[in-house]
Amino acid sequence: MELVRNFTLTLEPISGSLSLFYAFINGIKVIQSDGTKKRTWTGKIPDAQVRIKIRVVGIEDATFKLGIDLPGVADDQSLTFKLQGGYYETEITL
Amino acid sequence: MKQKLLYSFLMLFPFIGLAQDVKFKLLPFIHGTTSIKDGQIEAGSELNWEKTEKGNTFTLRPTVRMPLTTKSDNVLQLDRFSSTWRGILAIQYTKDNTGESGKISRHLFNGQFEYGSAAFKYYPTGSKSNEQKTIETSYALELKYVAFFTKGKPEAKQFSPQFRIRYSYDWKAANEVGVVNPINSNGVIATSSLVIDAPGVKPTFSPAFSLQIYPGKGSFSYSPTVYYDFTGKKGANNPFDNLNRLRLESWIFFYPSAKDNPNVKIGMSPFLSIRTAGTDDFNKVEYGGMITVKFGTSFLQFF
Repeated sequence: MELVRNFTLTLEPISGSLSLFYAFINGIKVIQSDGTKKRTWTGKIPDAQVRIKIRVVGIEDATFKLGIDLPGVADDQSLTFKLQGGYYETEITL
Repeated sequence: MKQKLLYSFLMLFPFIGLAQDVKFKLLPFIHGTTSIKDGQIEAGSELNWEKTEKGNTFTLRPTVRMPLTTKSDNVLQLDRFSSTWRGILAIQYTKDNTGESGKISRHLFNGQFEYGSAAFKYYPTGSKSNEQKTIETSYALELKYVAFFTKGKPEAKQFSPQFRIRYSYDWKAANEVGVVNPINSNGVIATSSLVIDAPGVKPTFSPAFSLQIYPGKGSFSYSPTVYYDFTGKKGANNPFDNLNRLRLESWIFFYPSAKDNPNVKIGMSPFLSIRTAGTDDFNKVEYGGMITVKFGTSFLQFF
């Protein structure tokens, strides 16, 4: 049986104008929302290595916050990113 | 005005209490618009069914719209403004084709039905002692399509073509007029303002198209927009056999990057309204400018 762990992912607008938030976990889309407010996905992920891809569309150099929470494993982590020419994407491996 | 706002917020509280963060979501919904003379607020709930991995979202949004202030005749009034309350049921389907890489695209289809009933008082003899009261029913139907396309790269152009059609059958009170009162016991003649005429209704049909463009650089987007408004005869249901007006707008939106206050846009546009058929109280060609400030919005939201 594959071990799983609880996981919460958040995307939150900080400054400027954010149009769209996308988040993928191991290639599966878990967030697809407009960027006007904080968006959250909560679920279980495999204990093995997990790949998280974030794609955000907005205007110029708007900023957003990526939040990662693995209860019981690590403290909450949050990272602030700035769009470049209205777009940003990043990939994180847990 | 304060009383109406209070009712709006009180109505929201039960929905806030029920909000959940699961695939089926029930969330509060509030939308307010205002201009120098007019204002209205929409409040209610939003129910979402999401199949995120397939890119499908279905939304049901029952709301109530209430005007916050009264308004006078204005050539730009045809859209969602209504002078009395409305119950609104909106249904929305979004298909998002965006994958982990490559281009970003989505399509949104929205339909909404509006219904309201209101009592109108008027004084046909010009005397407050002879009050007439009538209850009339207003309704509207609106269909909307919004698409979004970009390459999903830094400095890529972003496009959002948007199309909207709206039919409305909206009863409005007649304007107040000055009435000279009979001489009183002190020998003074005074005037007062009264609504003399019965309320009226003119059906309207308004297709509109706008193309939102962000060039990929800078803090400005551009939105050329065209409306073609058909207004029918008083009391009729057919909007096509009387007055037609073409309206052109060219919006420029600025997106400030103030921290802790995201998703604000400030827009300005000149407008040109040309009467192409029939007659009305305005000049054949009307022109002017508009300014708007929107909060909690984005590049995608226009109509």
